[in-house]
Amino acid sequence: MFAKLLKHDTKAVFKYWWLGAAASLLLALLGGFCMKIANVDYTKYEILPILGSIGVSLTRLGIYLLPLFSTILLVVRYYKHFFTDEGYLTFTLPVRKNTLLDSKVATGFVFSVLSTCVCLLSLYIIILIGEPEVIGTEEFYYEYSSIGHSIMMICFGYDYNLRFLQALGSYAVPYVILIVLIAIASIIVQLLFIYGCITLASSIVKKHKVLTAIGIYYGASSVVAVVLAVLSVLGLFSSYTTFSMSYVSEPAYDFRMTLLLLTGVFGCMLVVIGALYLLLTFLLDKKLNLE
Amino acid sequence: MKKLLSVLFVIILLTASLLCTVPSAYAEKYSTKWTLAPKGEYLTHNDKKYYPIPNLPGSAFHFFYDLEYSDISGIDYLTVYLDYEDEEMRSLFGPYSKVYVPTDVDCACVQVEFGASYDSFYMVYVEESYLDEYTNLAKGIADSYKCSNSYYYSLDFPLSSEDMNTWLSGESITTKALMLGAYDSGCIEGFDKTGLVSAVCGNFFIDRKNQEVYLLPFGAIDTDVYQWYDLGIYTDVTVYKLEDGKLKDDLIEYFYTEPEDDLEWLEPEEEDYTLGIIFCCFLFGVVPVLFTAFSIVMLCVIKDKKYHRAYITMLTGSVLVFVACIAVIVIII
Repeated sequence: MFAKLLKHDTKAVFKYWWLGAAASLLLALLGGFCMKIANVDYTKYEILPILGSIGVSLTRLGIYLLPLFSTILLVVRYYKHFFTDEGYLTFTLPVRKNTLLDSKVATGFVFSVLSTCVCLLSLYIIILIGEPEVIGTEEFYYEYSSIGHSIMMICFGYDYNLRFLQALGSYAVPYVILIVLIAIASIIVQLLFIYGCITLASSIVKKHKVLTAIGIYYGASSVVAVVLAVLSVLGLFSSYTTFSMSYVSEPAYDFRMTLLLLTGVFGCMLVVIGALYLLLTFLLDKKLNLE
Repeated sequence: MKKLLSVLFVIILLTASLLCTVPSAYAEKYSTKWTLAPKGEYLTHNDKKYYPIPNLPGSAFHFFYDLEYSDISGIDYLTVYLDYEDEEMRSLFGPYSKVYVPTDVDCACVQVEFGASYDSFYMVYVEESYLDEYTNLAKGIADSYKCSNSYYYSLDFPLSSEDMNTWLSGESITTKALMLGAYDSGCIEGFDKTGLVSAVCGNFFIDRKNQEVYLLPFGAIDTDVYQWYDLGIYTDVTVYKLEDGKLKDDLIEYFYTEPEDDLEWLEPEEEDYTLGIIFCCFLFGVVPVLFTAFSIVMLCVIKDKKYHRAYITMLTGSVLVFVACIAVIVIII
């Protein structure tokens, strides 16, 4: 039954998602040509390289909007499928509410990963058309890793760099595994967090559920930000910095610390996932309000 | 309302007048016209002439190098723009060359900064009647001297000119500059009569193992190149052995003694990580244990299996965090 739910959810989201993906790829083509124009030397039309650079920036911005578009589609799907008139049908299906939730999370994960892949592909197309000579060189990785770097920010800012992986040696495999697990967990945390805000809003109010959900989302995000700020003031992150950054600067850098800290991060994310899942299950089970 | 505006207007007028008179009064007291003669031969100020100190081998005036550290030297100074007698000098050095003039003390020296960017250079100009005294100082002949120690900001060991003469009359040894690299070294500065202007006139080298001290006077270096510590390693140098036993022992003891309460504020405070460590242990040690216990209890108590997945996830996560925390502590210890 889970497979069927997943199939229907995927189809429902894909119906509009492919438009965003296609737009992203088209922007990539446009961006590639803009990059070619931006790299032109010795032209009497000096405005051309400037326009080309602006074009590249705008197309990249458009490409980065795809994950946002994907998130909006997932949120709309979740809300409409659970908390509007469609919800009456949804919750009469012969499946547990957990399975319905699992299907939503799985769909969200799939489209998050797909959106990221399309973004990376689009950036690659820009470079392939605009500056193909840098492919395979170190410059390519700096250019290409701009989105990879943001993904790797969960690794406390360590540069996603081939040389770093080489330096890791035997620790490279567990490091990459942990990075991948943390990436998966962060996507799930984000999805559960958004779904939790929508579910909570739908449980407590009868009107203006969307606005309430947005308010809860920003409120909860602010609370999390304040908690993290308090923790850093209390010396939490400075201790971490002492323990790990001082190791990084030493010739005999101890990668075990990095791996253990990443393990700790992954563990924290699992706890958060469990807590959010518990909240969602409880709300859907006991506090569902479809009026 | 009109009265209020009038009062305000009068106050503004009075304030503006006062502010305008202050610079004039200040400028009157410190007549700011310093004029450079053609070819930089001398400076003219208030009918006095100031001549440059030639760049003698091994000489360095410290007075104006301490301008940046005026809290230590205690000298305040006024910065004025240099005027020129002829256009050739003006076009060479530009309109923004400066003269640094001490304001609190009656000093016979001023420093001129030629140019106004990263490649500006400095020259010291001395009032005519003091020229011989400061030229001698640049050569290393002073009324009094002080020695530094291995803590560079300390310059407290006094030497009289008689001590220096005694030292220079000791055994002289000619060697390669390279050989002096094995010893600890400090500098000796000669001071003028006011005690505010100094010039480094030599280095001393301490052979700690054999408890000997050697003087390398810069005035004896026969080169045309301005040198500081940067002697060519194969340069022949003549050093003088300090034969006064008591002076030698005192100097060695001073050299290796850390000054008390001296610029401790420069040392960065050691960060106290105690609170951070305690908090980390609480957050990554105690809290995961609580979460683990909570999850286990709820798994046993709650029979509804739809919640079990969440508790198992929390249990796994808190165990991972706890194990990572213990491992970090083990590695650090």
